[in-house]
Amino acid sequence: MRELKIRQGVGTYWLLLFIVCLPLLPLTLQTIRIFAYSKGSGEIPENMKEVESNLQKELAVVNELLSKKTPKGNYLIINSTANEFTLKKGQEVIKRDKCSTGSFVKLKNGANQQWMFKTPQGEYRILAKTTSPVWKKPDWAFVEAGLPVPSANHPSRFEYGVLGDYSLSIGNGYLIHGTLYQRFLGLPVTHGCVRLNDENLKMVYKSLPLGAKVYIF
Amino acid sequence: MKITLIVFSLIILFFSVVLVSGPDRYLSSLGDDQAATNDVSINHEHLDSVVHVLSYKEALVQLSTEDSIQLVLDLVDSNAYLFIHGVSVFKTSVSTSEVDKLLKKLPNSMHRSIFKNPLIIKKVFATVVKEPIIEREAPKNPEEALAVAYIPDTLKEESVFVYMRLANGIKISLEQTERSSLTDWFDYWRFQTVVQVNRWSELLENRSYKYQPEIRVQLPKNDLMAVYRALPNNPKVVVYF
Repeated sequence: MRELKIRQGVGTYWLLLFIVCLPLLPLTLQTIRIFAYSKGSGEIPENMKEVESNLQKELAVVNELLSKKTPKGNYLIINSTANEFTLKKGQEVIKRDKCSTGSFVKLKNGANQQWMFKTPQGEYRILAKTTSPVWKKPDWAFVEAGLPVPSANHPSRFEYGVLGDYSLSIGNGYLIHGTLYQRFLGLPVTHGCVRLNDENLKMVYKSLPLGAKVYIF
Repeated sequence: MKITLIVFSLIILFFSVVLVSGPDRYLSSLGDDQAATNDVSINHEHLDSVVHVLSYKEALVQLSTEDSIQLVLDLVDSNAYLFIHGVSVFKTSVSTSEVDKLLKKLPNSMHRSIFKNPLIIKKVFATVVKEPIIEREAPKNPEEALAVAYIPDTLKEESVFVYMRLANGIKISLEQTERSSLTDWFDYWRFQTVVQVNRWSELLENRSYKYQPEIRVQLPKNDLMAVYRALPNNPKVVVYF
C-alpha cells in the first residue's frame, strides 16, 4: 500500500515536471533551428581572395566618400537636450561647454496667438555676424512680460547690451548670442536662440566665418 | 486525464511547428525584397568582417544624403552616433548590446542587402515625451509675469527606454544603463509590458507568426534622451555588428 503511494507520488512529480517543461519545448526547438543556419564555412574557395580584394577596393572608395563629408573648417554643434555646445575643426574638439537653448514653453495669448520657444534642429550656416548687437524685441517679449505690444519701431522695442558683445545669425531670427543670465547656462531657458557665456561667445565669433556650419540636435 | 494530456501535447506541438517555422518565414519575407541584390560569392564566414564593415559604410554614405538627423549604432566599437548630412554630431558609448542570433547567422549576401541601406523605423515609442512642452498663459500684467517667471525643474528625473520597430521587422530596444532607483525599475517593467502587448497585437493583426529579431542596446540615460529627442518623425537607423 505504502509502495503504491510512493509510486503515485513519483508519477505526479514527473507529470508536473512534464507540464512545466513542455511549454519551453517550442522555444528550445526554435533556438535549435536558428543555430542550424549556416553562414558558409570550411575550406576557403580559390576565388575567395579575388572576391575579398574586390570588396576591399569597394571599401576604400566608400571610405574616401565618407571622409569628404566632415567639414574641413571650424563648425559648431549644439546639443539642445544637454544644453551643451562643441566647437570643432574637422575631428578635433576646440571647445566644449555649457550653453542655453529653447525652453519648450508654449506661450498662449488668448485663443488666437501662441509662440513656441524651441531651438530648431538640423543643419544651419552662419548667415550674419554682428558686434554690439541690439535686440529688437518681438511681440512675444511684451506679451510674456505682461506688457502691451507697442508699434513695430517703437523705441521700447530696442534693447542694448542684453545680447552680449557679439551675435551670429543662423536665419529665421535665431541667433547665437551672449546673456546677462549666466547662472542659467546649461539649462533650457531661451526663446529659441542659443546663449553662450562671454568668453565662449567671443571664441565662437572669432572661429566661425560666414557660411560656417552649425549643427543643432 | 489522458485526454487533457493529449490536448496539451497537441497544443505544444502546434506551437513548436509555428515557432520553428518562424525564422524561415521571416527570412523568406526578407528574401522577396532582397533577392535581386544577393551575391552568393560572398557567403563565407572568412569574409564576414569585410562584408559587414562595407555594408555599414555604404549605409553611412546613403545616410549622408538625408537632411534630417539619423541614428547610427556601431555595436562593433560599442558606440552610438547621431549623423546629419554624413557628419557625426554626437557620439556616446554603448555599455552593453545584444544582437539577435538569427541576425548574426545571416548569410553575408543577405546581411549586405539588408544593412547596406539605412533601415526605416516604422514605429517608435518611449517612456519620455519627444518634446517637453510646457503650456503657459500670457500674464495679464508685469506683476503677474514676475510671479510666474519660468525656471526649469532641474530635479525632475525621467527614466528613458525607447522601442523601435523597423520596416523589415527588426525590433530595437534602446535602454538606459542606469537602474538605480525604484522608479527606473518600475518604468522598465512598464516599458517591457508595452513592448510585449505591442508584439502580441502585431501577431494578432498579421494572423501569422513571423520571427521578430531583436537588438538591445544600453546607453547612458542623458545621452539616450538626447538621441531620442533629436530623431525626426521619420527616423532611420544604420546598424553595424
